[in-house]
Amino acid sequence: MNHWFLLSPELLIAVSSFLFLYLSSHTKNGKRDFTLALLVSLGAVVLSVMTLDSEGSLFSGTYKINFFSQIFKLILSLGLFLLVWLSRNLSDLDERVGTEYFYFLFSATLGFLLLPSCSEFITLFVALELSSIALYILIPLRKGDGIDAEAGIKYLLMSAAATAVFLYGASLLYGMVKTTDLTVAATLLSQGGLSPLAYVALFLTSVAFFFKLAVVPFHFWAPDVYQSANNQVTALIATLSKVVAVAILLRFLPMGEGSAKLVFILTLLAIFSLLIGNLAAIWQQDAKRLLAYSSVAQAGYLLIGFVALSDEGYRAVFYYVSTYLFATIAVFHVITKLSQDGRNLKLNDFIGLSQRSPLLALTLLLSLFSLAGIPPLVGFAAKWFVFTAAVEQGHVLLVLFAFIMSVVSLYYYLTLIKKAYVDKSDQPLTALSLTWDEQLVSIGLILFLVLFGIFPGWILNLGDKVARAIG
Amino acid sequence: MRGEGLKAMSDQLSTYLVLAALLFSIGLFGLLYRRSLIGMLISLELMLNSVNINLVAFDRFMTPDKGTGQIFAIFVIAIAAAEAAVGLSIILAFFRRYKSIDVEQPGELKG
Repeated sequence: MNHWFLLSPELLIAVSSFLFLYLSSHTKNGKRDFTLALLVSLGAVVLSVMTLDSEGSLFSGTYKINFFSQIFKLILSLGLFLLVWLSRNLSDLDERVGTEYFYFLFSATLGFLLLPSCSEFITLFVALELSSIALYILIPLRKGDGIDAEAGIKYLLMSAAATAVFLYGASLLYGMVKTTDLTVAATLLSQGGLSPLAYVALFLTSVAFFFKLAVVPFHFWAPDVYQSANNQVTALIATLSKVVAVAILLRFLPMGEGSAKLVFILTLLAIFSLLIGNLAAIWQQDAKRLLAYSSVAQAGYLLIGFVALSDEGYRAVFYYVSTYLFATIAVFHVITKLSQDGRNLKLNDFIGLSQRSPLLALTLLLSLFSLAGIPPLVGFAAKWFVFTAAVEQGHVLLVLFAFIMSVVSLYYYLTLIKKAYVDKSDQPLTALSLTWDEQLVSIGLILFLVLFGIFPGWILNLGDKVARAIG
Repeated sequence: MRGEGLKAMSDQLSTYLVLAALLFSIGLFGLLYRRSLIGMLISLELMLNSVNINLVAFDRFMTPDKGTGQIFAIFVIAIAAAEAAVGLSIILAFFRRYKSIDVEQPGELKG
């Protein structure tokens, strides 16, 4: 009985995704599906809060419940709740596939929820594929011109290749430690430092998650998929899948603590992600392509936290990714509201936003400032913690480079803000009225971005507990 | 004499690891080099199957009693099949749109 309770958030999402599968073969009703999905995701948030402090080991020790897994489940289900709310107006999906959208959304999220708890390679692989296969179908689901099929097949081939590399690394690790259990593998590997083969295998297993984070050179899918998938699916890929990738890397990379080679390769990945992400973003005219390159750059900042390979670094990474999730959702909240018919927004579509809807423009301003790292927002605190953790371990030049790159990133974030606040439109502006729930979410996200930026202590304490629970 | 040499090779773990590494590299090369979507999907299967060889070989030579590697391989096979099914259906949608399965045909995305 108690065991079932430990698993309750995942069970709720699993049952509801089957419910959507059942409903999809019956009459379609967008309103009903949306209400149901919203209630279920709210229930998942409540259940994750209730199981937050529980500990346990399920399914013969292949599935571990501890603070580390549960805090990530809480963040993921909060993200799911906001994503479902963003899906209230699925105007660029065929009405026939409205229910299927929720089915795949929930099964992808089920995979995400399972991943932080997996303490064993086979379980990890199955959960990873559960989320990936649902994403393969979600990306080409958009109605219309067919570029979605191109992006869909590209994402499938690249993601499956990344999974194959992960499996190859996992098979090598299995050969070395003679078990698929991650905790046993971690203790065996860390005895006497990493052998060259262990170091290669560890890097190969991490590739699937570098891919999800869109770290250079595994980023080629990001701009195409961001551009082609519909706005809500892009939001899913830009938020939940990144959080999960970070959660798994927090399990993997600490195995290589003290290994200079791992630090070197992570430094290289971080430098190239920062360089290519920030420079390529400058030339983009499509808002979602710009966000794709900005997410590549953000992955670079996250990697700097991993380069430190210390508890401060992991704490900073946790703070970074949990605040990045909400800042990104705030941007997508503005995008989905502004793009009523679901089309892709050009940068020029943002012109005059401050007059059409001051609250929405403020949400955009603060979330982009947060992504750029301007005080006193959460993004600034996140970059500050990541940088100090890296400097403490002596990576001064890397941090200096990242700092210069974040000045570069200001350029493209400010371009978008300038469009929204300064540029004059030659066409008459129509006012954009927000409903009460849209106002509520805007204000909630603004408060989050400002308050946790000024008082980061609470999330940082959670990060401390996460760093302690990794081992 | 020759038969004994083969037998000695087939009793060594390294034979299988080298074979798997070769297959994996061929698959990766094919995925990058091929322009036909079906060809790319087949290359992908090659990569996944090289992992299976690795797993089963490690299982046979390192932990012959437990069978974890074999179970892992079965999971890989099953999920690779699911992935191929989804992949083929997207390729079908792609073909309906562009009347081709050449990955460079559409060129609407800049990459």
